[in-house]
Amino acid sequence: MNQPNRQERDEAELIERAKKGDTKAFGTLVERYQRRVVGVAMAVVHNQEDALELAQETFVRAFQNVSKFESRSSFSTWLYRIAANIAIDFRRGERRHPTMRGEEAETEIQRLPSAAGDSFKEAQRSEMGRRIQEALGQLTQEHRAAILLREVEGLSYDEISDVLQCPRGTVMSRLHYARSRLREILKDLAED
Amino acid sequence: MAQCDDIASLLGAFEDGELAPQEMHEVALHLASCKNCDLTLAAYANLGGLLRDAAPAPSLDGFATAVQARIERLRPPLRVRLGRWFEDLRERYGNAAAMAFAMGAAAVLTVVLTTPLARNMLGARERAIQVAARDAKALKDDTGKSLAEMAAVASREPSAIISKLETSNPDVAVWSEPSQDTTVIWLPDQQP
Repeated sequence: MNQPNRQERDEAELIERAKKGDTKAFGTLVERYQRRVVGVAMAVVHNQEDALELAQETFVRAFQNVSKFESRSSFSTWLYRIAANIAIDFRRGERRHPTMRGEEAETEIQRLPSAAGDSFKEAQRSEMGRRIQEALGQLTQEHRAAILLREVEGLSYDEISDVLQCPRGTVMSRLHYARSRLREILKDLAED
Repeated sequence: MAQCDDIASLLGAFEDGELAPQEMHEVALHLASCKNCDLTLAAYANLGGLLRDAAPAPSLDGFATAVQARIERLRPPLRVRLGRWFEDLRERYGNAAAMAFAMGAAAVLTVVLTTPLARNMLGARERAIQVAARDAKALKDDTGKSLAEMAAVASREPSAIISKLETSNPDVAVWSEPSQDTTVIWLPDQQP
């Protein structure tokens, strides 16, 4: 059996302290995983503001339930699963109670030349970003979450399967579909 | 040799290094002789880069502080509060005294919770009486039944432990529960 390395031992100690109610130890874990937890929430809800809010909720819920965490899975995967569940519930609630989202406005803002400069390269990059976001918007939530968790967050297939609670084979087929569809939509960019 | 159709669904997983060694070998062999699949693979790799470049990076300034503030406001769970109380005792009176005090408290709690008094306090007696009265009424409605059938009807309630059900008169039901020190005698309303 592999011996835990120093970082793992350090993490295990932080978790044990958090289980005893040490908020500072938990704060260190927040700093360590905040970017990725926000990334997981982003992959599901596809909106920055909501993702930040949901990531906060993820950490609060994780702190409340840290005593139930058993080291069967890694702490990071456990956190990502909480984040994905909260984000998926949020999306479900949003579908039941649709409200005006800021996504269209955000897209419009992205179209405007930025104050930092209007060079051709920057305009080109922002146009490309807009097209990619639009293409992602054409995928279903499940396909988008899978491709973003893989390509942007760098999660393995097993981790994605754990986080999205679906079999590994489903992860593979979702990724295959998402890639084929994105390639179709972004043919000129992907085949450059 | 595998056909393009068989290989297409494996290309993404090949790019991610998530196939079994045998499949990795098979795809690599196919790619060596198929320009079309090789182009698809390159497009998938390109797409990954585009998605990473276009991924918004939300500002995390103040994120950890906000989470910390939220978890500080949470009331710690009972287990944590008990742990802190015990730690506090240990610091004040030393290990032995704290241990003796905690064991004494646990012993008192155990005695209280396992006595009939405690069970009565938790409402077992009242529940037993209510169940008895209800079932006795049901028995009265079906006086034509044998004692064994009546007992079966009365014991449908999972929380009732019926030790003995006795009656020689079909209008009177007597239900004894020695373990609860409870006897319920049911009499019909007086006819005018």
